[in-house]
Amino acid sequence: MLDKGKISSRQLTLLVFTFISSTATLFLPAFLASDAKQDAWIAMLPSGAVGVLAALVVTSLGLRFPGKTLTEYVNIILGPFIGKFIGVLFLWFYLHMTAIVVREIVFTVVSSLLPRTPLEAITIIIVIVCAYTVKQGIEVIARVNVVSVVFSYVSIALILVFTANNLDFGSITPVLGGGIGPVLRASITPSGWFGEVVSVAFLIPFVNSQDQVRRAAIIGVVWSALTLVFVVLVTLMVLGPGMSALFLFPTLRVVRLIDVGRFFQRTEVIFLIPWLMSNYIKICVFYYIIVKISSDLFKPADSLSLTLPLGILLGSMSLYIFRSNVDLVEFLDKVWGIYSLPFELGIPLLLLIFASLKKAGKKVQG
Amino acid sequence: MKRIILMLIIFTAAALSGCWDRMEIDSITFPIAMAIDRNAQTGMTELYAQVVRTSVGPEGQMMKKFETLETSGRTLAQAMYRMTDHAEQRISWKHINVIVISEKLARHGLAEVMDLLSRFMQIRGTSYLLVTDENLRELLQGNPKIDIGIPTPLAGITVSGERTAKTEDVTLKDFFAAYISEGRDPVIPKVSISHREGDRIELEFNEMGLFKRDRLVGFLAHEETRGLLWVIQKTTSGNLILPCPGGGKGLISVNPLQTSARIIPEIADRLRIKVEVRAEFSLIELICPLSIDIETVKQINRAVEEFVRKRIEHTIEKTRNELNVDVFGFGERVYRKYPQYWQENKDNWREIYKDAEIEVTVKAHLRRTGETSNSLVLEFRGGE
Repeated sequence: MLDKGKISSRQLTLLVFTFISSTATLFLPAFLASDAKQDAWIAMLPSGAVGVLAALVVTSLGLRFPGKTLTEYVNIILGPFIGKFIGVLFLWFYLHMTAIVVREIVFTVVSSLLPRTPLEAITIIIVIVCAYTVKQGIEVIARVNVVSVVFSYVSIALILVFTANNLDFGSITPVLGGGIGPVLRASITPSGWFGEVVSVAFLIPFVNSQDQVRRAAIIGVVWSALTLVFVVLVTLMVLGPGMSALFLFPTLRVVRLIDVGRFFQRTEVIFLIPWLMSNYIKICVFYYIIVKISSDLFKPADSLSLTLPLGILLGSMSLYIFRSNVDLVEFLDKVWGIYSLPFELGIPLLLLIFASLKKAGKKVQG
Repeated sequence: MKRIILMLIIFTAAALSGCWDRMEIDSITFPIAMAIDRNAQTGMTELYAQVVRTSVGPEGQMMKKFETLETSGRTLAQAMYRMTDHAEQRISWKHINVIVISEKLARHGLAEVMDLLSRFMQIRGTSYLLVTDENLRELLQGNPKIDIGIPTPLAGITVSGERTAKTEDVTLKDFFAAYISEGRDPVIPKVSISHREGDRIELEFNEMGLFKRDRLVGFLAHEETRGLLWVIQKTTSGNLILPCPGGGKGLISVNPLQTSARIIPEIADRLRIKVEVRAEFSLIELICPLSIDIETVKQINRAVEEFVRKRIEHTIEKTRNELNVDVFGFGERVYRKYPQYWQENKDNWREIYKDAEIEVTVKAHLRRTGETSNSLVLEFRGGE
């Protein structure tokens, strides 16, 4: 066991909500609008369904093997050899995903707040803070997250209030004007985000009421889907589909348009500070999972001793995986959905099938 | 001990390194308006920036003086960088309130300069756009006759738009929205100097520049602009003056209180577009020998309807038949209602739009007549 922290099922819901919706609020509207135009918000619904499916699969697995994480029970299902291999695959996947999230934050800070600061400076600061948080354990992360969710909601509410006079309901018509095809195509990318609920597979052992886990995960997915639908709708209604697709950060553009009486303006921080906070939580959760996977794989004497070395790896990866923001945006838009779904849905689904064929683990009802 | 030393190292490293993006406020110039021109011979982009210098006057009051910085460059970005050299100060563009485009540049096309204006973080989507054929230097340098306390006199467009409804302010974001939409053409209001007195100038915002994609193709005069504003639902104030109903000598003036407009496209054998405008208005002046009764109210309503309808029809006629621009956003309405039809026909939309049958209906309702009943003209002169 990595640490003795315990989180409640409610805290799990909040964690799921945070790590699905945090990066998505800033990046998704542009990707969705370029394919699905004014129906971008509808594209959220099929991908939300994918997220619910992934949540069902990983919680069924987790409940079959109580007290064990995915990298532990995969050894029981498929034997130690293939099990270790899949463990390494997941280690790679989480390192890669977390490095991308770090890069997203750094990219956003650099391009909209501190244009002349080198990427390295911001990356190092983020990684140090996150390494410290991870050392404190999952319980601390979950508790900090509660505060962060409150801030996120206050900022979303403020944005809605201050953009209310700019909302144009006409710009989301015609509903399904281009047919269902573009909407489904657009929903692949957000599916990758919703699939991140697979992380629950590594958090289940820390939840104190196991029978609530499934419900908690599904509520988390549905809740973030609704929040994202809402954010995309506001973006579309303020900017219209054309501009939503044109700008890199349409959500941020919406916030920048806030101007109450030529006086209350330049309000980006209202949005960016909670955004940074929830992304910090997201990195911490994933970073924690990386440490967990690697201690499952390599079994060091003190599992948390891996934290700092992995952090250095994480920071350097995030600096070198993309040459520029064009790489990042193209990767997220074109590759991320297809690349992440095998990990998020494919492998867990196969594991579940094998587990039930071999009748491994204990039977769960429902 | 080790801990304390480590903490000291971290603290000093954080405190002494400063920040990369440090800018001292007294070494930055903040232009509040910029004007862009294009030299047709050389193809260079000419840039003017309005800077305000404040000082304390002899009676201790605040004095504002406007100055301009000027440069040119092969692109807008180059001109902006060169301006930093000329000013020998850093220039922050974050407080740009108004962007003035010269008519020459507007006729040439705005796509080139718009790219920077949308990409560059310091320029905000809420900046107002204006087009002008005046001398840009004079426009930016002139001190306003009456200082109304807004940062730059050019931002008077907001006041003008709200109070008189002669014109409408258009922000960078509005322009992009229309420019990106396939079914709508952008507009930008025009500013001109109406009166000069030494170095003091008076500005006037009274025409509306019409764009086909990013190119200026013509202007709507002030009365015609109103015809546009009625339909794009921006008229909520302003004043209409029309002849007495029933043909008598004299005038009445009314103020719109609340207006709404709907554009309803229909596809039968060809495209038909219905424009339905509803207006509630109040009576301001009645200089006709009329008594106020239900019959008169009906007459006034009919007169207002007729008046507004003619204006709208005239504006549609001018934008559609003379210039073939779709500033009303009819194409967008067609797309919203008939996406299939739009996909098939959007490439020759301008042709279809030209042949479309547009029917304007206006419903006017007089809601308030002020604090007097019958016209004083009637009371004093008995309807002579």
